[in-house]
Amino acid sequence: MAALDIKLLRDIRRLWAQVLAIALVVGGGVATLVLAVGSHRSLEETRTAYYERYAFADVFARVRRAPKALVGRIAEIPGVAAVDPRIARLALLTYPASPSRRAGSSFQYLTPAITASTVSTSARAGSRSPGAPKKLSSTSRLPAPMASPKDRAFPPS
Amino acid sequence: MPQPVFTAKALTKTYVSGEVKVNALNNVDLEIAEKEVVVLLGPSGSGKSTLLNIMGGLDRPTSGKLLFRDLDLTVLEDRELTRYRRDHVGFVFQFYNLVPSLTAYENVALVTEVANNPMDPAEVLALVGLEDRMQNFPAQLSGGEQQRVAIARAIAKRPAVLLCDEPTGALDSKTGIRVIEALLGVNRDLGTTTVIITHNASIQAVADRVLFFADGRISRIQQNETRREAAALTW
Repeated sequence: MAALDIKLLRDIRRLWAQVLAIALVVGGGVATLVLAVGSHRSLEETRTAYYERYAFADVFARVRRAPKALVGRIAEIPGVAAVDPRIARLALLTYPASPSRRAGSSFQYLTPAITASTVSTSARAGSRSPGAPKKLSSTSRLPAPMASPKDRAFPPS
Repeated sequence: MPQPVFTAKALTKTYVSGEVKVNALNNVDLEIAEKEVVVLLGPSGSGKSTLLNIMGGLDRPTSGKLLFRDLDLTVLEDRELTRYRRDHVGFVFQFYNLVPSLTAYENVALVTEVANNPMDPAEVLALVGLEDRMQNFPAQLSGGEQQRVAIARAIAKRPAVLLCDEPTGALDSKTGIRVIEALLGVNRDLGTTTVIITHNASIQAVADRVLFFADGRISRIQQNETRREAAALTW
């Protein structure tokens, strides 16, 4: 055995407590790294599966002053998966338990349709990165009339 | 005069610390011959160790030229200087620098494992009179024995020159003489050119030549007609 190897073995035997402590620290670091990488992958896969399962759109688009008669033509645009003809606006409401009127962004005030929101799912599966550039606009999550029930973008809440 | 191992011409070393300049070596001219034993004597700060470090490839001169045989040490790159040290130079320091967790044999083997044409560690330890202490660790050896292990380690690779910086500085006279005996034995048996730095004027009697240093210069050179045996030294 080479003299340097002998020196290493003797030093390890002499400094066993320090060597053990260093090994534990290194082991802990490796375990933390493995856990972090595993968690990250798991979260990514969970997000992808969730988006696929509920057909979460890549892009939400809103139109202004579009008559309801255009719903059919909008639905025929390539890549448009669902058309939701409704009016989505902020409104002030009075709740029975609260004396003050409150603004609600998730409330839908339905009138005869003069605007429509569209939901595009041109790339439902894959390429769904939160960092990817998207043209998004908010839309209501309340159940609303859709062009087709099977094209509903979200489950009824 | 035999072929010189070292030839120094106008060798100068200046250390700069801020605005202060210290001339450690000042235009030193020198030749050291093959198989010669040279003792460098002088007070602290006179330039002995600086010269030894430059000869050993541990330092570079500010100006001047230093040849090892035909090799100009002043123009070598770091890697070439490392190779020069590895192949041609053995060092012995005042404090032995042995690896405490290796036995005397293993300390010498540390060098023989990487040298080109090494001696057998047991053989070289026997050369310095330590054939019975080969399996002892440094802590189990006296200062003189540790220094002899260091000498054995330095010569195990058959260096052309052995550079010793105060090899007896940390030893009492009896063990110091034993160490000088080992150095002279190596010079006699292997023909290794030996340069010894010392503050101890008694040691000059064992040398072929004595170089007296003062203020970075060689102030005097003494040629000894006969070399005394180490056993005849006293201090």
